Formats: sequence, structure tokens, C-alpha cells
Amino acid sequence: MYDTSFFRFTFVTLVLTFLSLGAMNAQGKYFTRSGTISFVSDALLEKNEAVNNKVSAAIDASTGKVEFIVLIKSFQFKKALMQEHFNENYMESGKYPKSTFSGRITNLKDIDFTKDGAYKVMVTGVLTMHGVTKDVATQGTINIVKGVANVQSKIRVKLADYNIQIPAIVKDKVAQEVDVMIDCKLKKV
Amino acid sequence: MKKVLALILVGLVVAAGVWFYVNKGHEDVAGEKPELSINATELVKAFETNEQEANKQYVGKLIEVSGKIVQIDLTEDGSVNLLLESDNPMSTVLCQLDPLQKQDQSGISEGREVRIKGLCSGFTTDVVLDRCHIIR
Repeated sequence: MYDTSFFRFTFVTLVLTFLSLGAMNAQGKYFTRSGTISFVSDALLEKNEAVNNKVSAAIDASTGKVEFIVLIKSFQFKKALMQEHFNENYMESGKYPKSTFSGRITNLKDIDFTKDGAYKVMVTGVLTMHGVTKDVATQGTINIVKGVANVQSKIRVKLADYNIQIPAIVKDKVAQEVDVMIDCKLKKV
Repeated sequence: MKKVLALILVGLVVAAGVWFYVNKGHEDVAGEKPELSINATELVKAFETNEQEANKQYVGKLIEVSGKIVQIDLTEDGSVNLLLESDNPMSTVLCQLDPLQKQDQSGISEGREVRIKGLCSGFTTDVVLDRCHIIR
């Protein structure tokens, strides 16, 4: 009597373990090394646009952990002078070569990574740039198409929050707040 | 009258100077010689062992890297990212072909051994080289 219930218990536990392992496997991890982050700073006199399409991004679908790594020097501007000022004066990329975001999807249960469709995502985490780390919360979408997770989001960054100082002489040329756009295609690994 | 002409001339020269300064071109990577040469495995190892030290040594410099192309990533906006193999399967040297100074891309294929020069931007999960040109 004791023996059968023990075996049943073991069997059920084993089945459940395999099922949950299977589910975790179906969720899996998503990754890219060639994600895109861009921004436009619209100011009175000038429109500066810069693109970086060498962003490393990872999402763990089973835990909701989200990770982005961006190199400052990899932002490509149309004007060389803008790029130089961005790197040397504002971001000090020699001293702070990268910016990172580490966070978590807070509505993970609303997203089915195994099923094609567009899902709204809420993310909270910490953004580090120019040597300053701050809490940020943002929303975006994850569009699942044939197992590829297309992530799109936007973070509004106030330069003063990250100790990025704009000299008074170019104040009209550089916006004080910048929308950072995220557009990454993550493949299952 | 002469004074006025001279003033206009000076004004024009100053304006031209400012214009050239503001609109100066990007660095001529294609025509420059790399500062140092290293293979992909050693470069990745340098960043994995001591990132700060490697940043000082490589970031912002034009370097030449040799290695085997394991993957080619094409991005939405038409950029080509060549990934060079290292000892660590999770880390590569990511070389983005120069979008400003175009080059012949025929013969680029996975599995090929290449020598590439580019500007080192740092380390994400990979060592990133920007504005790359294939030497061989």
C-alpha cells in the first residue's frame, strides 16, 4: 500500500518535472548581436539622428529577464562633427564606453512566446549610461513571428539625469530630452 | 570701397571656414593604416580577461583582426555584420562593413578566413569593430 502511493507520487513528480522542463524549453532564450537603437534629438536649430545597429540584446522568456548592451562609439551620425561632440563632450565614451539596460518584463504571463502575435510589454529596470544608473520603466511591443521576437520600445531620457552637460553656447542646438528608440529582432537560442 | 570689398572677402573666408568645420567629413578609414594587428581569439580573450585594460588598449583605435567568418548578420537598414569566430562560442568579433566608404562585397561568405581592419568600439557580448574594410 505504502509502496504504490510512493511510486505514484514519484511518477507524478517526474511527469510534472518533465512537463515544466518542456514548457521552459518552449519559452527559451532569445538573443541578437545586431539589434538597433537610434535617437533623434530635435532642437531649435538642428536635427541630430544617430543609429547603432550592433546592439546586444537578450530576453529570457521563462524568467522575463531583459538585457541590452550598447556601445557609445558605435552610434553613427551623418555629420562627423556631431559624432565627435557626442563622444567627446557629452557621453565621454573614452571614459564610459558602454550603456546597459537590465530589467524584467512585469506582465510576462500575458506573453506567449510560442504563439505568433503582437503583445504589449511592460518593463522595469535600471539604465546605466555616462556612469550614472537610474531606475526606468517603459512599455513596448513584442511581435512574435515564426519564433523570432521583434522588440520595439522607446525610452525618454533626460540628459541632466545622467549628468550629461550641454554647454550654454550650443544649448539651442541640442535637445535636453531625447527619445531613444529600440528595435531589435531576437532569435531563439 | 576697397575696405568694403576686403571686409566681404574676410567674411566669406570665415564663413567657408565655419562651413567646412561643421560639415567636415568622417575619418578616412579606407585610406588609413591599422595601428596594430591581432587575431579574433586573442582579441576576445583580452576583453574577457580585463575589459578596462582592453578598452584602454584597443577602443578608439583602427585595428587589424584576422579570423574565420562564422556568421553574417544582415540588418534591416542594409548593414552587413560579419562575425569572426573566437575560442568562446558565445563571443565573436563583430565587424560591421563600412556604410560610408563602400567596398566590393563579393567573395564574403561563411567559413572564409579574412583579415579586416576597423575602428574598435568596445565589448558587448562581442568585440565590436565599426567601419570595417576587408584587407584580404
